[in-house]
Amino acid sequence: MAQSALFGRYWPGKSLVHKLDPRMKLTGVVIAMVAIFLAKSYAALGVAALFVAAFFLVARIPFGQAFKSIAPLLFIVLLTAFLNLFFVQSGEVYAQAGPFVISQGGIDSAIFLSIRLTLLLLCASLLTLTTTSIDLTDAFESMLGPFARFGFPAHEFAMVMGIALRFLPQFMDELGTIRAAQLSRGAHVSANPFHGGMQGLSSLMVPLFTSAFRHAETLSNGMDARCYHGGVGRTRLEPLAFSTRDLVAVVVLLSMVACVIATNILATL
Amino acid sequence: MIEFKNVWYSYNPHAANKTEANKEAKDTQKTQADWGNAPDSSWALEDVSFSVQDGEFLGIAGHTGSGKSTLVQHMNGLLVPTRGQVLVDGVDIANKQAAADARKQVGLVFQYPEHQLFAASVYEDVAFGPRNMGMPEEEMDSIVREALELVDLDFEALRDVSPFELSGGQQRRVALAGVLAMRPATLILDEPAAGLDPAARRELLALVQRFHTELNTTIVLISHNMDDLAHLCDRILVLNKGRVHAFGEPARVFIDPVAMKNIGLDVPSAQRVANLLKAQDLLLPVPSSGLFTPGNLVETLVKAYKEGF
Repeated sequence: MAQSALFGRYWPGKSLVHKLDPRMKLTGVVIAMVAIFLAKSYAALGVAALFVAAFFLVARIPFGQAFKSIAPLLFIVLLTAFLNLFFVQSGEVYAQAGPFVISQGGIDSAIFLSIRLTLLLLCASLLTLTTTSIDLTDAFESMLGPFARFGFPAHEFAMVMGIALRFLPQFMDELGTIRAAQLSRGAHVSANPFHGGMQGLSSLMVPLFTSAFRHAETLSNGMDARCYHGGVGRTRLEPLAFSTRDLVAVVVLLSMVACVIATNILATL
Repeated sequence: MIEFKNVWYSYNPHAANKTEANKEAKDTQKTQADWGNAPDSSWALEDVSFSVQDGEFLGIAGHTGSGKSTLVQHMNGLLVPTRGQVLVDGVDIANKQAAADARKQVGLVFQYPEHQLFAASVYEDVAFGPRNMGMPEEEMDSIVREALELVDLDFEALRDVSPFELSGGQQRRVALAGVLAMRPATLILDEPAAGLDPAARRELLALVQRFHTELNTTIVLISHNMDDLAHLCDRILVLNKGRVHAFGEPARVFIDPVAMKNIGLDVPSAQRVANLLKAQDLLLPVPSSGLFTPGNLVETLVKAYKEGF
């Protein structure tokens, strides 16, 4: 019920972006982020923004949904903008109140960083919007595979991550129920320790933790019952495979980096 | 008295208002089950009006997702109607203060209440509610003792025991005592017997019935078991897709087995047997209550057998 607030919840679809190999998408997001970080001017950021917008268009995710999925994290953007506004001091001074100075440099970096951060968040949310958590953990496992040679538990690591992702919405739901139940008993579930807050808080956290342990026990029994024995010798119904689509994606992403760099150079000429 | 006046509720009011214009058209096109609520449905409750009388035993039935739990969370102000009003003793409980006051009157026991236990001892857990309500600390011993005795638990033996060391059935009783300790005039129970074995289930329902008769507590009971509802309740509210499907005495609610089946529910088993017999052209005289219970079904059958069919 309250799940809509979760960051980048999977948005079912059959678009080109949905069908990309998850490993490709994971790498692609990193490449796109590098491109965004490389942008030195508004023009270059604009170019990057055009690419990101194009990705969302191809993925057929409505823009409203895109912004809704990053809304819970927008406060980070606002905080960064706010800090930059006051702590970057250069150029013309517009207003001054005691130690607080608003200058041209502050405004510039506040706006620039908010756009950059928003684009980064959009990129990350595109990944989770178009990739199921199972695909994502499979991709992680496959990409961590080489490290398994040095004793790194790649499969277990991916499994733990997958389970964590799977249970996040569940715990959100349960926390909602526990909260409602304790509210019904007149609990003050604010974080204010002077208002019965500590007991109010423990009345939420203790049941949540016991429920986590209960789930863990049930889950491990369930895995035992299905003869789970780790990743060794396990095969897949649908093995991950690269295709031409992924090649196209690589080309598009590299051209994004190239375009951003080109705009940077053009701007300095 | 708890009064619902044209209550509409949506978990996503913004979208609900937006899509309402073309909702009618959409609804007719969609193919879906005849019961429950589609997950993308805008309204969890639609135009619900009824009232719970003081001292009554009200049952609430409905298929999974029909809005039962959403409905009862309106009764103590946990949820606030998107449209319409909920009045507790004549006071609209939409604002926070009114809701906090209503929670002293209306105790709500959620499904699997033992999952909400948290304190280090049974005593502390049961005293949590009364303390929040500001009940005097010097009376706390007697309040907790009384609440535990109401659920047939031994105060002296259990007061310092951790609730997590108790059996599942005992944990549920402790959780129930935690709500009873607030001395609510109305007690709402969401599937109180879920997951219990038949013996524990009977005991628990007998307890609930005792609160009703001995303490004169108004009871609202959500249950999937039509036999329990028919047996215990003065009136039954049947929900379907967030709307009131039927409301009234058990005999009136269970009169139409086909309508009940269409919304994924059943009629009490004795009545079902009588209906099956009727389908075989064995007409039994309808009892004065209008509803067959195991007791009067046997009596009627014996009588019919002796007199010859």
